[in-house]
Amino acid sequence: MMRKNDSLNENVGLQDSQKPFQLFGLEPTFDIDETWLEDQFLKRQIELHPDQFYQEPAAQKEAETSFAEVVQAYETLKNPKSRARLLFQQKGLWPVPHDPDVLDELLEIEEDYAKGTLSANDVAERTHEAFDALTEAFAEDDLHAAGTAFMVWNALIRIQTPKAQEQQTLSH
Amino acid sequence: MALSIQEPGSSTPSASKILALGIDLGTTHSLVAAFDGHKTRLLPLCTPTEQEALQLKARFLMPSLVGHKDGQFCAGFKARLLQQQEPHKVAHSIKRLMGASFDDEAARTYPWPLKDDATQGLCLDFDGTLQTPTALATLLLTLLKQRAETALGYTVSKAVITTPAYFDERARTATRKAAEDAGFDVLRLISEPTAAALAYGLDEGLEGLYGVYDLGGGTFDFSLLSMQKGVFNVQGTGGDTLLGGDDIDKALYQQTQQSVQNANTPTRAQQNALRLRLKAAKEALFEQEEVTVEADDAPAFVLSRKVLQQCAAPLITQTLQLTKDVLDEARVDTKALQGIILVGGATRTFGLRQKVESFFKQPTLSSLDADHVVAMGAARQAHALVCGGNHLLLDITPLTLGLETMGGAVEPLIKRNTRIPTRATQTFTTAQNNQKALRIHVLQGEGKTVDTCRSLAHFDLCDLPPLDAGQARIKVTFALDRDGLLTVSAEEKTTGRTQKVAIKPSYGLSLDMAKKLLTAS
Repeated sequence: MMRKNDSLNENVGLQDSQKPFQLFGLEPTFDIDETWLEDQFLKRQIELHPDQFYQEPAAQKEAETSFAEVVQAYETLKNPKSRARLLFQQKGLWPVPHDPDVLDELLEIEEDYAKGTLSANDVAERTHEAFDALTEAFAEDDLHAAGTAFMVWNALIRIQTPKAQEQQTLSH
Repeated sequence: MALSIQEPGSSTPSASKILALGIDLGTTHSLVAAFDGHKTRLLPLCTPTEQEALQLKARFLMPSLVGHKDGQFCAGFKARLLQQQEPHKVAHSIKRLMGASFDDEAARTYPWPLKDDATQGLCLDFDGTLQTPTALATLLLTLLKQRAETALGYTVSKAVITTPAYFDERARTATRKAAEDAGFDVLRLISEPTAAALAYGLDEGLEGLYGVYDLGGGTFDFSLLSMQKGVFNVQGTGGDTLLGGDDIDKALYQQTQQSVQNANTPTRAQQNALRLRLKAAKEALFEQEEVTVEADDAPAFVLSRKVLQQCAAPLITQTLQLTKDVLDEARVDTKALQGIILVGGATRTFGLRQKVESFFKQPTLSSLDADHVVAMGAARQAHALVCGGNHLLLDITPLTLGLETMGGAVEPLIKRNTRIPTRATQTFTTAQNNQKALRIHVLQGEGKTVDTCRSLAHFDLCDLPPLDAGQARIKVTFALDRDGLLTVSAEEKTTGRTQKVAIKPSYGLSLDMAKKLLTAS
């Protein structure tokens, strides 16, 4: 039986956690414009796709590896959750330490949402706020604030994910 | 490196000699096309005698049929001739079984006696002679190669083979193996809708965001592609490999059985004969208001467009639901699409086009023949991979790949719609103290649990050092190549022990054996 090793800090080394940013010519940052990233990704793909090196087998093999790395980096960076995780890992802050005060607040939100006193719109708005707080905290290098915002933001997203969608499977 | 390797229109010394073929191995028909640097053409595959005997309008479509009579196998046109006489001796829609196991839905719904052979796995039973779907595909591909080479007058081994976009790992591996066994040097597997888009983009000069609606005999795919300055960027795909024109035939047959009062239960031969006539009638209804269908054991009856439309409606609704899922996931509105490309013979079912057009609220494109366009696109890609081209194809993987973890959960490593080639690594650990081995179970699908995903392979990482639960560090890497084929490797970090596994191709057929079996074709 194997177990997912998600909560271990050594899961990704410091070097590995910086690489995705480096591949896109970025300093580690949380604030990445999606359109810009898409655009850069397409440029890198055109540059590195192994089919572009059809006449040079050695270069093609190298390109296959580089291309795969860029795809991996793009997949990590485009998702704000995995992007935040990389930044926390770099600072040795993964998993993010639990803040007991925030936990209480989250439980309250969850209860209110379940009871219906908190509307879907309210939750969506709070999610945006938490995301903005997270962006700002990273920009100011305030890791404590970033950790708190990350917890709140994550929990709010989880609340909004309908159960049906979580259990959705394909028929084959 | 510049994108343009060969100036468009410039001639090369070998412009007329074909170095690589494009092959559409279809559920109903198979085609071979070739691009010589200037023009794409389909290769004639049947002899004039066969053309006359079968009354074929064109010589490009080889029936994807394999027959067995008096201990001899035959394929293609010969099998079609046999099917006209003795339909119960001819297996069709073999593509539906590519990479399938005996317990799969594909096998359960397949209208032919099947066996689960201890060494070969799923086999079709031809009066006691067992053949795997891969081996039968090899027979078809061997014949395609022979016929294409006859048409060209020289040998060509390099080829691009198309598969449905939604084909899983095992179906792709089986297809590649079948082609290699037939003597092909497989340059690449590309998906059918992508091939169609290549043909339209390169031959018709389309640019922008397009949807490709591809309904074949046995499979349905919808893909979303952007075409900009020669870059073909697949953005999303979805489909069902068990949904196609065959299902309309099946619905027509059931409908007929209900309306025709039979005194006797029809024999298998009679059933097969009726199925074939209904299929022909369905095709004829594209041009005619109604068709008279003969039946061996009952009076002839009239089939109308209305009945056909009733029978086809549930299938079309399913395809449009799958299409909607792809659009929703990519957050694309139908209005944002520049056009809709129709691919696959089943899109010529009467009434289908109108339904698709009303879903997209715009007319569909069909300037290129829906039967030909996939092979034509494959030929363009084949040429580009050998001689260079002024286009680039960026493809994705259609299904999520993951690993089994505790409690039968599946941990995704490579998510669907990820660009390929790609790789992903994740570290896992043991669940028990002094656990000696770790089972790596590779799965594919969108489910969150093992029983809702397709099992691709498993292997054991053995002789782990004695450690407490959670102490071992096992790094698992998935590498997905340009064909969308997966290699999995696992490394135990403290000992550095590594094990690697490629998804095993199913049991196949050697080229010599294929040629021997095909002497009759």
